[in-house]
Amino acid sequence: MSTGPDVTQESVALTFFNDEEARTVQAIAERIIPGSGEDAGATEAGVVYYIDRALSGVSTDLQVVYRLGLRALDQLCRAEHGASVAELGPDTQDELVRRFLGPEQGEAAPGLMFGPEDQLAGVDLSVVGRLLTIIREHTVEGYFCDPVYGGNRGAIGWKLVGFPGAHWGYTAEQMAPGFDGRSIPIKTLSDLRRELRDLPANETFYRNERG
Amino acid sequence: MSATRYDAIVVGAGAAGAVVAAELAQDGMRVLCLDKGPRYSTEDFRLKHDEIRYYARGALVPSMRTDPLTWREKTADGEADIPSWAAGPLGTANPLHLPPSLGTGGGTIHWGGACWRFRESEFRMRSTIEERLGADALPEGHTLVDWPITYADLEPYYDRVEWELGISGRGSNILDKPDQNENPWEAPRARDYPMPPLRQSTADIRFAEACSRLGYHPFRTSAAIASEPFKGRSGCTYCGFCHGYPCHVDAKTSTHVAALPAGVASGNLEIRDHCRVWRVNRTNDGSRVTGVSYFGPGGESVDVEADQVILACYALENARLLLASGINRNGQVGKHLMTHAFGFFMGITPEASNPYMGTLVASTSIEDFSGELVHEYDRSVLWGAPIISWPGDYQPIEIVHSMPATAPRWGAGFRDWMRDNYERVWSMYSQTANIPTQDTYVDLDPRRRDPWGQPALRMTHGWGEHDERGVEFLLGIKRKIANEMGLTSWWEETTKPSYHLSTHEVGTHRMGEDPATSVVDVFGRSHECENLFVIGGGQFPSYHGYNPTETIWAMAYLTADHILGRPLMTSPVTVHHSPVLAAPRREESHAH
Repeated sequence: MSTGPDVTQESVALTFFNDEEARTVQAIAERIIPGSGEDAGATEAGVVYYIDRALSGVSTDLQVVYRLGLRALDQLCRAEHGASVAELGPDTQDELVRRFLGPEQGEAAPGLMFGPEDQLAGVDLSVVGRLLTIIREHTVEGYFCDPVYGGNRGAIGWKLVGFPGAHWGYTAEQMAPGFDGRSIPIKTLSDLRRELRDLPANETFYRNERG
Repeated sequence: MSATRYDAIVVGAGAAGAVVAAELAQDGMRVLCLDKGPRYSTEDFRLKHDEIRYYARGALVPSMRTDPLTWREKTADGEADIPSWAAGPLGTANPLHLPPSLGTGGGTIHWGGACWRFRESEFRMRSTIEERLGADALPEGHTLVDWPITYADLEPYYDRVEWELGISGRGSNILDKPDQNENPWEAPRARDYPMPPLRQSTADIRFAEACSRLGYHPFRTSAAIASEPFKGRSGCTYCGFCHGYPCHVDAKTSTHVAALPAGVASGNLEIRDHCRVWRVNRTNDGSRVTGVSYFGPGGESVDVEADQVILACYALENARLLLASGINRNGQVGKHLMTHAFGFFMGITPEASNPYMGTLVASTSIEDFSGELVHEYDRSVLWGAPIISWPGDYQPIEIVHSMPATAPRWGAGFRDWMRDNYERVWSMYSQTANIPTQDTYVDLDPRRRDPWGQPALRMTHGWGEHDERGVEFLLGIKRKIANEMGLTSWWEETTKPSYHLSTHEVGTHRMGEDPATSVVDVFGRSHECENLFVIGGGQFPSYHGYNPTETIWAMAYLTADHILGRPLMTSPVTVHHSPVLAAPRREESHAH
């Protein structure tokens, strides 16, 4: 692991999930936003750590659906494949996600395809459907959040889409047609906090030629 | 140290409440301002560049846990429920982004800063429709009425808003600038804005040029954001975290920095935050209010008294509080609910739009199809609206939520869509209001209560055929613009939106001269309790294609002048419809 100054952001410790649950969530998140070649995926972004910290902190109301949903998903997987989600190959994992979120592209309503009466191998599929919908949303959040939240490690989510992150402002030159936004260095909230004491007074700050 | 008796209590420190509280305090009245949210300072918002905190987790906005709200499409549907359309992507309806932010500044903290004067005809919407399209053009069961005041009455107050609070823009139809006339349909104004327009984002230039080629009349949208230093506030830095976010340099005209400080400096304004007013108290005969009761930060109920009470806590909560306090003798409280459909239209520009820069209101609009002007093009549309470019201020998670239904939702295709398109998104929108009917209203939900045991608000609201028709017509114009701009693809919101809240709810405590058919008079004074004022967008008798806040502010200054016995302001501009507030019959109507 990293020995840089931001050790807390690179931590692989868990505050809610057990190790097995974390592996499952990470495997599903990687199918939502897979990495390939130069494009980083959810695993590299540390999405599972974003989710883990959300569940132990601000989203305690979602702990139950994660616990029950992951248990049901594991039961389903073991009944059908004799293995955990994380042990399956990517294609099989995609099939699993497809059953609950619908096809990658199309009009299906995510998470709404199963009612409480739907059972397979003795498993309540509706809670899995709801879980997958939530993991999809949490993956997006964990991929594009400021790194302070545990995800978007190395700002790789922002790099992918060309979002320069947290800036005090942009100059007229940067806002002009034809400007290459990817030339703007990515900054995070951590960078802004370090600069906070050097901010000029509001009366002069508008000139904003600091870049 | 806290007193229990004041000259005036203002409930809600948002757009209207902060302005009135500060005006009264500066004139020497001892004012208590109560807000159920926090008291904010600039320091609280220095590191606001955070999409998780303010967007995904809604740090500023109410929650269904504390402020439950139920909905049904029509009365005949029976019981109302927590609306499914309010459930966010996590399915929890928490946070609920659609009502305004809580705390000092209220909705003006999170708002985009769209700041419009209404045009002259908007004050006579009903009679204009009937004169032009016939008496039976309006739908059955409608409750539309003209305003009891005209544009001329508000012109000097609009001017006061723009110069006191700080609005940027470039006006048209100005007394002393006859050559500056980009928007031929702008209502006449005594003078221009105190600051020039904000810096345009790159895709907005493309929008403006396309509109010009189509023969429309693009003009720069005015904005409640300082474009240069204004009264100690910074000019905009174009940081791109604007709508839905507080401002880190006070460039945005939020009342916690634009209005409250002057009131506090007078020494006469006390602000108590985290205080949730639950009842307006009255004398035994009900003709006067004596003060309010609120739950303090620890949950204890506290009574405070005042000679006058001003409710300024949004159209929805104003109505809920009146109803929960039993103040509704004529049955008009909560009626005539109106809100906006946005007609969102998003597309992909041929070159980078860099949508993370700038603000949504650093934009261009066209008014060729506003109000009654639309009748020249299509007489099946009752009332038109401006089309407004939304060139920037988009962060990645918000764009994920705005992706077209045909785009991949997960997998490599989803990742690639964001990689290839985020830098090139751009959007435009319009705002069309529903025609109020007997079946658009709010009341108290008989089944649901908040954690303090108070009744929840119940909305009854559906979109009518005419409401859809307005969205549909403007959608056709947007497609022409999109084509002319060379957008490589675009996607559109349905003409019948699933939502029924827009942060632009109005009409629920209608103002009028007749105490039998309205809740307050033109100054916001309750017909039922003579020392109670109920102010804000709830006063609007009709609603149109514009954001409500500049008019809410103008009316708040009017209320303050009235309470303080100041002479009302008059305007030098020439108008089609004369002012009515200075006329003698107005004095008589207040003698009752």
